[in-house]
Amino acid sequence: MVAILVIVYFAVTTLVMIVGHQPILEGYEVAKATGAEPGLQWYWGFKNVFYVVMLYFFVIAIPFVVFTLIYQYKKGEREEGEHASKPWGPIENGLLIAWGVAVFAGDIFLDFVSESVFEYQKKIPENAMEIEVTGSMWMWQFKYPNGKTLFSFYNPATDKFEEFKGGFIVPAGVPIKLSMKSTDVIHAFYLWPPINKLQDLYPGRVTYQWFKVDAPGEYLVSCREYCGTNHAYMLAKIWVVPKEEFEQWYNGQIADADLINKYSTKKWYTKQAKGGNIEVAKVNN
Amino acid sequence: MREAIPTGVPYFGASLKEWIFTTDHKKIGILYLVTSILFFVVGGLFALGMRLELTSPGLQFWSPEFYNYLLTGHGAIMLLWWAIGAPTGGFGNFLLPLMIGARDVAFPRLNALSWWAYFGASVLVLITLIPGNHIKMMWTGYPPYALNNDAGNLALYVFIIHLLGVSSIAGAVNFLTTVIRMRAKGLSYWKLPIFVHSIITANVIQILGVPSLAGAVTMDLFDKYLGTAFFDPARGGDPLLYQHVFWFYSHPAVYVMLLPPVAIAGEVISAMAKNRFFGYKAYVIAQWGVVVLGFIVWTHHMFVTATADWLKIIQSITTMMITVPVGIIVLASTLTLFKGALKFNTATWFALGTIFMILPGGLTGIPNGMLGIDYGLSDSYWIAGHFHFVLAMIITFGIFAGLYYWFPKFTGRLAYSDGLGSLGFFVMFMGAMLIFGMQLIAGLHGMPRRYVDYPPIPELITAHHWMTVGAFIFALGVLITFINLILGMVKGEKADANPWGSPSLEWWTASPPAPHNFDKLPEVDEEWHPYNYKKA
Repeated sequence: MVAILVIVYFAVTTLVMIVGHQPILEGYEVAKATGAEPGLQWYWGFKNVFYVVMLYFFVIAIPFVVFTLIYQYKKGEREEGEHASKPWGPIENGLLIAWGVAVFAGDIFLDFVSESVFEYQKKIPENAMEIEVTGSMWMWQFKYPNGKTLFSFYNPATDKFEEFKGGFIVPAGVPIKLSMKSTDVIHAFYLWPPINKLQDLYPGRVTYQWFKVDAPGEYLVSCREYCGTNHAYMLAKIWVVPKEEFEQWYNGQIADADLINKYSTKKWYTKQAKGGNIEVAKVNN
Repeated sequence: MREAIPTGVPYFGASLKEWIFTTDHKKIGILYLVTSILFFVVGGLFALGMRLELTSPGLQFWSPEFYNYLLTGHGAIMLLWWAIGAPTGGFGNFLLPLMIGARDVAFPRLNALSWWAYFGASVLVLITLIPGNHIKMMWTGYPPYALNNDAGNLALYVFIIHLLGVSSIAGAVNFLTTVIRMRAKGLSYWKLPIFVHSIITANVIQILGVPSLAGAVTMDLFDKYLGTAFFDPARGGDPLLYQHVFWFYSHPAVYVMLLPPVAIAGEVISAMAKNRFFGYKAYVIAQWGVVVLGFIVWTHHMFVTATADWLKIIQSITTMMITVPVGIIVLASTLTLFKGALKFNTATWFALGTIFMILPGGLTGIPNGMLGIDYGLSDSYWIAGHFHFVLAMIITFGIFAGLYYWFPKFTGRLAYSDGLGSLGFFVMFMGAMLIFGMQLIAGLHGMPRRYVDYPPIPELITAHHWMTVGAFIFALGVLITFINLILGMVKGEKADANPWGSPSLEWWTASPPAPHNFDKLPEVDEEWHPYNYKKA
């Protein structure tokens, strides 16, 4: 009975971890297929963490299950105090300290992973195109270097998410530098997977982040720092379009709506996104 | 020290007047426990309300305003009433003087004041239920949003925090003085049960940290009502200041919540396995390691803010180092099972569950602590899943383990049925794995926290469906557990003074203890140790 329960207990957690592994691998694949940065580096880092963490998990979980299975109370055999081992004193404490040192070594490895991903995300490429982002309760404004301005204002009463056309347009394969500020409270500009990166926005201060996507299509942005009633509706979309078409739009030769309609794949980050974006990429080749 | 009330009835038979004017640590402990359990139910209902709304995309039940109120209420109530109130206020008050062989705490009247401040805050938090008084700024109360009228009544929020702060500091001073001055003869620091050590460490954090939180919310208050400009960038202030001052307390506060329930689980495992506590000294030192490191990691709540990079990098490394003492605590608790004679009952299941929950909880915290990785996780459902495993599950299971383990001490009876109790545990366990596991997965798919609504992405919809199912399974488990405990109070079998055969001092007196705790104050010899089962 006990054995079965402990095994069930253990199996459920392992299952959760395996199920949890799926989105990471999938995310990595999507990031690779779409050339999304810094998402690609992020998923690489997260995969490393996941394996180290699994190691920790099994180092503790297996003794835990084994001991609960073996050392059970049995009348006449294992009873009060009879089997209570003598305190080992220094050996016991030393063993725990050694374990602490081992954990510390794992930490150092993960610190290097963390630092390398951080440095990559931090360094804004020199050829990046700058877009000024302004967040307000509850809308976004995107301003291009030549003064072109796009908005995103989602009204939950009237807008349908699928058809919503607020957002901004960027060229494929070009790093985009976002210089961001807020007009009222703190917001956070979150680029959904496969880019998967966020940064807070403040009133009275400019913050930066950058990203790059190769595969044309529609990607998602939303606010990820709590900012009040319509926090959940502070959404925007990014339309990644081929460079030539972007140039034409930027110089006013193509209307916003035409370009947006062409690249509204309506497949954000999902399993479908992988297929959808690859298809678009093929058309361009 | 207070004179003992000359009555043969410990507390069930006590009159209302005795309860209101009591300075008895046991009665105050029970008052704390009952209040925090009631608020656990309130916070749980808030959570179910949110889960209903989130099951499918779109708005079905509540307006965004009401949802944000539920969210704020759920966070504040669960953290401040359940996670701090029950282990430190409830178990700490009831057990600490018994465990060190004292007749009461050092300042019984201050102790009563501490509960009444907590009660006052409880009344105020119920006032926010009235429409128009909803607080919607989240328990963190970040400016400039908290200063905005959209966020609700800031003055009420600040006053609640101040009252709770008074309660916490009064309690902390009291507990620390009690442990330092009133230990039984022969009871050195290395002979205190780990639960007492956890109460010491938790209250050291409270004394050092609460003033910082009080200062942060007071600046919020002054900015809104007195026209100061601590957080107003237009007049030279900086909203980031608040986050630093706030998290300087509120990160260590996590360990105020965490250490006592983990120690309770350790106590239960040691008693049920009839085995000495493995690496007792290393465990105690690890608790202090958690305290020291806990005060130098607050920036990990602010990795995506505009804080300087050097501070983020340093505190990312110190955050990762937290795994060292926590790893020692988990492994020590696990190895306590080694060569024991483990008895499986409800208390054991909850205790094992507590230690087990440190695995999914603590390990999902590692990527959050890594600076480069947190840039994709901050403020997502991944974070929500992580801190629910850590806080919600470790604390809830730890408290229930303690309730079942010390139930004979509290009531003089055994819990009604072990079968029903274990069933409650397993239902809760499955529900929890489903909700919080799915939260982690939704987070990896990009789901942001604190959303009343979400884009109709198939993966997110599936995850949210399962979360709602899990939430109701969990609620069922809680219901079963409460039914079992209430039946136990009324119909449970009468318990011996020491049903688990533990040598620890709280079992040296009758169950429930007489008003003066011990007929003769206990004295312990060289050989005695709270985990020395050889002699017991």
